[in-house]
Amino acid sequence: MVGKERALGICEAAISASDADAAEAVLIFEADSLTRFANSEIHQSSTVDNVTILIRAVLGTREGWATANQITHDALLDAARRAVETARVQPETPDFPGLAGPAEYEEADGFDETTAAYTPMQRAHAVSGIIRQADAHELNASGSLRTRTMEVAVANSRGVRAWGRGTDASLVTVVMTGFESSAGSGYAEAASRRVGDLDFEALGARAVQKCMATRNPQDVEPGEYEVVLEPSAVATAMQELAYMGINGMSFIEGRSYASGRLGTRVTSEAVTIVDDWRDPGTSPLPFDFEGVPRQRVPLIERGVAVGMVYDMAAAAKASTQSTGHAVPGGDMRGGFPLHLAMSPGDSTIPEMIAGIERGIYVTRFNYANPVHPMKTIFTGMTKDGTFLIEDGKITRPLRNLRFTDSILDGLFAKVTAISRQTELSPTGISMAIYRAPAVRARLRFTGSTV
Amino acid sequence: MLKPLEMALDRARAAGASYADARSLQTAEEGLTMRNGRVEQARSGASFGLGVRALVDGQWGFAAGSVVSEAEAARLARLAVDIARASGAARKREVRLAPLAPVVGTWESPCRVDPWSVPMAHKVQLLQEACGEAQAGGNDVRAAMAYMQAIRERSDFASTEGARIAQTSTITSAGVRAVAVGAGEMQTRSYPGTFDGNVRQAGYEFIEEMNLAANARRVGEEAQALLSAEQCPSGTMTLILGANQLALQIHESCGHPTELDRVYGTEASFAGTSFLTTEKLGNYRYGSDLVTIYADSRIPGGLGTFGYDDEGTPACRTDLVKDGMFVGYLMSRETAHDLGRASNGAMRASGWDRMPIIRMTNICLAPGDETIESLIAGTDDGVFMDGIKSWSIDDRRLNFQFGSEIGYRIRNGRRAEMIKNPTYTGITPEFWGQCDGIAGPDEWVLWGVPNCGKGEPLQIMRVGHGTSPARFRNVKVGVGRW
Repeated sequence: MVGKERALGICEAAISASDADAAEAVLIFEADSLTRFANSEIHQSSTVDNVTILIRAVLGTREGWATANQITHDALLDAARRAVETARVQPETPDFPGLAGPAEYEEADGFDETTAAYTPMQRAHAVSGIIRQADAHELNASGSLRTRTMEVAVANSRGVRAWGRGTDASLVTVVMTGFESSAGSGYAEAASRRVGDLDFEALGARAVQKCMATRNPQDVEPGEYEVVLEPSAVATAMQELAYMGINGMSFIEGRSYASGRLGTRVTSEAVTIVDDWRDPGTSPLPFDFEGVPRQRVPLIERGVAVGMVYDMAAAAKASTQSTGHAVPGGDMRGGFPLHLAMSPGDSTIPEMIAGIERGIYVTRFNYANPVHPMKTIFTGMTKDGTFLIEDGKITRPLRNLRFTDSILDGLFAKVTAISRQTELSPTGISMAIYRAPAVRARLRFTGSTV
Repeated sequence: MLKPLEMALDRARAAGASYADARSLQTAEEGLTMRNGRVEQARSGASFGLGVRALVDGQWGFAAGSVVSEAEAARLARLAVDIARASGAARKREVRLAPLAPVVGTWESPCRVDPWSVPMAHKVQLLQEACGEAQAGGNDVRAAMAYMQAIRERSDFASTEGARIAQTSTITSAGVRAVAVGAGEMQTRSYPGTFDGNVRQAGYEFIEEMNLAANARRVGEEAQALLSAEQCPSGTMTLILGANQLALQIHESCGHPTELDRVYGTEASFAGTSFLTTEKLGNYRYGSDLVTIYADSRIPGGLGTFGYDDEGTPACRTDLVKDGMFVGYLMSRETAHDLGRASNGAMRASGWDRMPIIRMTNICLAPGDETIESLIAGTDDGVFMDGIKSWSIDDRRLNFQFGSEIGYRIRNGRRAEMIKNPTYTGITPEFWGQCDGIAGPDEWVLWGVPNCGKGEPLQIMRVGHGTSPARFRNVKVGVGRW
């Protein structure tokens, strides 16, 4: 850890080192520890510490960025110089909004001491418990346990001084009977800012149980089916939606699902999606990487598109205010949601299954990617637990299926039930954990593996 | 630079490592992106760090940090050993490494014009012209982007076996893209290819040779025209893939499944496994007789080119598919030992902060003797697709579905009307088995793919693919509901 005083001091030193008209410095520290296991043994385990400083120099309406990961006087001077040199040769940007002004931030500490101090031996013992469960059934366990500590400081020459820290922990496990096409395969995942929230025994048991239920999967004809999606699959669909259109710049340029559709119905009335940094369990960073206070942004409310996330550049183009969703270093300009959540409903997974005459139960999606961002069409495979539902019961395992459908006009437009219970899913993005329920909906399957 | 590395090796050995290696990497980076003639991002980056990998009682541990000093190297070495010991809590077997003669050497990629010697104003002007041309391609072009990047990496590698290797790489990339939006439709065209345009280990000369501005108008015009093009038909027909799209096909359906760590299950929970299991080696028909696919880490300029991989194994060429038969894997020292072979140098780390894992080098489809014209002339009813747009494949690398930026119908041996949103799907060995024509060396293009994701923590790797256009019969195209 760098610590609040030192982190802000480094940012201030970076600003002082710049001879730009205005300057901004963002410090990101990350300690990332991860233990991987496969074939029921640990095969890779690592700990990486890194600190990155990003300096933005502003000359009139011109911007330049520079990064460095050496926190020495000379390195900061060099980065400050490079940022100015880069800005100096850029053309003017008339709608440049300037840097953020000072703001009050809510108190929020997403830091968990136990998670930050979690040792390689503790990780090894945690995954050993899952491996033992797999061994007891002569199954093959793989997965990873990750614990991270992150610290962010933002300062600029207009007086912004923001600092926050957080931790996160995530576990994914895939338990298999083998690698052949007829093999059974089960999955479990969990994420939280506290490693103590992860119930390793329960997660292992869930993956083992599902694996044993998926041996000798069978084929089913492609087509549109009623589906029950577990929270992991719903979280993947939300993440794809975020990549395809939850971005202020996409919205302004007419490339987002919400472009020209705010105030109109975009999904089933059952669906409400919000980006809420205060969601318990996620890493509550109360400001963004420009130092703007992070807001709770309703995106879809009872099926109606109602909002969009912005950074300062996109907000200026849209003649609105930033919602505090800037990402570091000017990447992905327009903003990005780190704390997406779909609101719970009043159903349960058993109730959803019981109401389906013929449908498909999906544990998770794998390798999902956009096909047509504006139409929110995505494709991917089901994995680690796909089952046929007949007459209100799960009857047999299925081979992994390929789906190709629109998230909004297909899947989320046809949501008829949502579970009361929600789960937190890891996204792979630092400090981004999404919350999703299970849903009953319809999905178009376009093929199957062999 | 060698002192911290030597310190890391000494301390790792002293702490009980039977083998250790240490690698420092210093990176300088400069990137510029213009959007509609204005700067979207202008960035200069610098990164430096050290990673230590230790093998203790047959288990790996890895630790890395951004402070490069002898004291920090000693701390990282001890931490790597501690991590390896902790991994022993769930040990079933001991890692063994295939033998390797340690190399003391250096290597440097070709670079005629140092990208840092070119004035920034010249770069801005080049991209502004490209943006302007792309934007002028149509009234509905909402976003015209032009971008370039230069990266210089200097790595030092040392192992307890005596390897001492220094390598320097200069990488440049550039491209232009137009996004047209209208009537509920959005269409994108890119030049030369989709991922950062094209990327190569070369100097600024590579960017100048692209003639971005001269090609940008066509990019804008095609994005505009796609808005009103017919939707790709649905059905089973002949498919001709352009070189850019075929690079993705090779990457996903041959590159990844020949990674031996996937075959052995060590990526099972993340990247997936592979259908190319070891009993198939040498006796499994992967594709038609025309199909020869090889890995070659010596191709000048390739993004998968180096002198030595990140275990110190010298660069080489390996056939993966020979005349349609599956014959080879991408290997590390550990997996090669388990297969009873020598490593063919495919261990690569995306940065100082990552443990090396098996990665593609330059995975290439050997050219055939056709031309794009003869491939089209030999097609009564089909589609042509190019420009990578969408990709997904199952975890064993069998069922794939890919989409392209642009397509054309082919009727009676001639290219006909433009089609939008072209997609195709198939099963890997069936698809390659239906390959009945590959264009020749004159149309063979070396692509740089800068965004291959694998491993946990995620490693984004630069890899290369060489290919010329090819034809496939009886392919399902136009997937999904539009």
